[in-house]
Amino acid sequence: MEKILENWVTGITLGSIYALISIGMTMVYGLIKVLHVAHASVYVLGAFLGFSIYALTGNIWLAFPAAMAGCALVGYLIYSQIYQRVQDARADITFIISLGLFMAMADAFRLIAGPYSLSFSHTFSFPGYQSGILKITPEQLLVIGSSVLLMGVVWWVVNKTKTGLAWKASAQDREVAMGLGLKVNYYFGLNFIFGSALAGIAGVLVGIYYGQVNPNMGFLWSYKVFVVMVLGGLGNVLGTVIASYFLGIAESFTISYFGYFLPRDAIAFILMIIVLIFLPSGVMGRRQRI
Amino acid sequence: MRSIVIMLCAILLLVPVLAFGADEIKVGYHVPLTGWAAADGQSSLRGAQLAVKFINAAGGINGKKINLIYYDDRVEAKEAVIVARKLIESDKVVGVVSGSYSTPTRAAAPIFNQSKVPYVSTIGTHPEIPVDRKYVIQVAVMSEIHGKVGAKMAAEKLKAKTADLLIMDNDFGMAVTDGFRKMAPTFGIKILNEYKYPLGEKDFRSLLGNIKNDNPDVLWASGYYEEAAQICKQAKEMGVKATIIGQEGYDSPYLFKLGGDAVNGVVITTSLDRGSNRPATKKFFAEFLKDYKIAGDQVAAQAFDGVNVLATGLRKGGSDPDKIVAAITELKNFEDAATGPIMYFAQNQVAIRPIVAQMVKNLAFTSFFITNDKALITP
Amino acid sequence: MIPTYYITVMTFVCINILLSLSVGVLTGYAGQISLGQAAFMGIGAYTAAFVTTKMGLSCWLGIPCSVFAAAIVGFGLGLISLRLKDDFLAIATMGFNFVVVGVLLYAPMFGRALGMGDIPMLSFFDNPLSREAFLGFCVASVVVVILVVWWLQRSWVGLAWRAIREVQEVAEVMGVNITKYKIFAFVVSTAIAGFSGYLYAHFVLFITPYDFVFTNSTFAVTLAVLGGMGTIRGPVLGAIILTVLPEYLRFIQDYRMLTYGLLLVVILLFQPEGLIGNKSFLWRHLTGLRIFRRKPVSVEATQ
Repeated sequence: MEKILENWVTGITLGSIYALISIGMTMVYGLIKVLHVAHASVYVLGAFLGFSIYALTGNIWLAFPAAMAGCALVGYLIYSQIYQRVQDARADITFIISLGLFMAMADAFRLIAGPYSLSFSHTFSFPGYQSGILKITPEQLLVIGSSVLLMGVVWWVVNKTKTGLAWKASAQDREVAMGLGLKVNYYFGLNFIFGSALAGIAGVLVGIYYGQVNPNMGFLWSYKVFVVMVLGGLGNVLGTVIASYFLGIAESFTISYFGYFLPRDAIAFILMIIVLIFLPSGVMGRRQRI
Repeated sequence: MRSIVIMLCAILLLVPVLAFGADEIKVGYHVPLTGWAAADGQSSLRGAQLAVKFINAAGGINGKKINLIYYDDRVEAKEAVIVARKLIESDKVVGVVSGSYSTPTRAAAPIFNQSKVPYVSTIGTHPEIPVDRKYVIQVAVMSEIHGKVGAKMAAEKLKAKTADLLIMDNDFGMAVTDGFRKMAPTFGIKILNEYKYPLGEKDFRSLLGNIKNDNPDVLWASGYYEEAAQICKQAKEMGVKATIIGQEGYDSPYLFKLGGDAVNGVVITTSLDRGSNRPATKKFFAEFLKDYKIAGDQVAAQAFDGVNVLATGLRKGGSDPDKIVAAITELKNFEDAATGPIMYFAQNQVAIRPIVAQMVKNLAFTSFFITNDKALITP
Repeated sequence: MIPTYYITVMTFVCINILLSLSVGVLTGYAGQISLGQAAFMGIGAYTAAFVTTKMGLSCWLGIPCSVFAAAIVGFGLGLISLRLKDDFLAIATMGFNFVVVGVLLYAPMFGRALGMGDIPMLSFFDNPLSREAFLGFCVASVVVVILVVWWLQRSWVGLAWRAIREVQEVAEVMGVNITKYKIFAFVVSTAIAGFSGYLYAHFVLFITPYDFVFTNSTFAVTLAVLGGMGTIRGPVLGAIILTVLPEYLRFIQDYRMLTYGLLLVVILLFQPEGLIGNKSFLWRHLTGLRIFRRKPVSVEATQ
């Protein structure tokens, strides 16, 4: 019984992490139909920024806004300097550009911060949760709590604000939206800023949860993001969130009961391919964009 | 079509200039400087460069200074193949040391062997590397040996009767575990369960839950220090009581930085005894700390040893590959090695040395166990 | 006598040209994106290794075996691709790469993480080919494959592929058998990739699953994209540049990957059609040069 509860907690925590990283990327995809691989670099940047601020000030709570601000800025730069210039290029070209950026940034991190993992641990003043055999560590609480909060924010922005409406309109049909006078580029930029800030927070949280940041951490999570995005329907925020938790929980249980019959990423991808065979547009499909 | 022909002609215009060396001895080195193993690559290179510094400061090799020519191989076989060729022909080295993992070393070994360039492997532990290749020398400890010694140590010092195996899925992780599995019955240890995990994994909670239920005396966990730090932390968090046994992959100051208090009480099998009073060991760590402002690790120490072993061969053998290799394989009780004394070289040019175990106390490695048992320490 | 270092690099150039052409066929001509070509190279390589080391057969038998093995799996992937569009297909092929590598990594008969070693060099009646001879074989193979691809794209097949790439719905209406040609594109592309794996195995003589990870698939796509898709010269140039350039960059080897990534970004930002793709700056000006002209052509005629 304890094992089952542990797997639920681990799974939900993992799912929260996947969700936070994926939301930004799926939102970008919904708008400009580009697989923004470099999003993983933004997330790593967030982790490093958070770590640096924490190392400098000793205040863990300052790490979050620092990461958000830094990533928002970088996200906007990536959009304005790169994606905006290749708006009408073929998708695979833009994908390779994003990939090149990702590789360059990963190496830049290595050159600046060194190849070693940096320890990022903090003992929190608030306790974990323990009730009988259910145990949740403070870090897990932080991750799950932050995700729920942020997801609420995302839902509110997407569904209850003018910005969200603009996003949905541009996602549906960019030309028409422009024709109707919508400042599409402005909203695209906003989207990048928003998604990147989320990635920044995700980076800090992952850094704290595993107690380390290193230049290669982007590689580890970026593949999961693809799986989650596909399962949830590319561009579909709600689907992505549901898929994230589903994947996190499914992985934890599968590994617990069956072990690694394949590396973790391969397991996730097999799951994805099976789903795709039956539902070629993901679980939520194209029914709802953003 | 024309375009392709013209292009192919254009390639022939790309002819880089070959370099010529002065009065120096060129030693080649390949190591992952970029890519996922860049951390170990940097340690390895530093260890090698420290060795070169010592040797040159002491007068070099028969009066000539060593020039360490190093290249990045990104832990890729195909890069190693290209780099091997470059070292042999463009740089015209007299010997090469590999500071890289098994895959590139294994790919490059036949090339160096065929060209009769002595090649020393420092952390590549693939069993096939030196086999039937008389110019390839193995200074790294063959993985299985860790496992075999680990079993004896677990039974005798930790009084273990039951064990779970947590196995990293790459060649190193699996080979060290093979040794443990093989010897466990001999020492009265029963293996309850085996759990494999992929290299690079960060979250072990699902498996640790199962291990906790098994409740073994010891947990034999193969991995590098990054995985190890997470395993120790998460095991403690989840309440796993078993003593964790690791191997030399754990040996790095980062184990403590990343793992924190959770690492205390962990035991590892390795060739490097940090508690030892051997002058070579002490000197290496003192100088490393001074030069690089960070504590040395196993990888750096092995690299250091590899370069020293090759240098010894070069001193006695000059530039004759057969003499160089003979000089090395005839070494007995080579004390200049920072990791530990090399007792002798066995068949297939494999260095044999005593294996130790270290226990972590107060975030430092301390001596715990040592064995010279021939049955265990020879491959 | 050419130093073996150059021969080694040239051999890798040939292998990469084949890999790049396999992407060119699938994505450049037929418009189907695949981020899993490295997996097919791996299938070809492991088949070649298996045939020679485990089954003890002649190394030349490896050619049909590797090509066939890769093509069969490619056929399967082609079938799956019929249901998937664009980015879903891209991610599915990426996933496929991970699964293949995972299987190779965990299957005992493929040597798991230790890989398969001691693969024999190609030999002619018990005489192993010298490196020069092997390079010759590689170059000959590249020429053959280029000719095949060129012939294919000039034929009805090429026309059908172009139709599928540009205006799939229209092509369907006009009676083009989309299914047949899509699957054919996959089969041809993966067969070429499998063959490149065969050459790789018989050159490096030691293979591990890590040689065929997803990163190498993106490398393959990069090769084709950089040169310019939709042509033969594009992938060839891309392969040449991206195999030779890292060697030149060794003097700044600490910054190699950074340079590489930035170059990719910058080149593609300004020349999304690739360096010598059909609409690129270089190509338009090169074909405008007199030495390229067979007969007097007006400048407007250069496409």
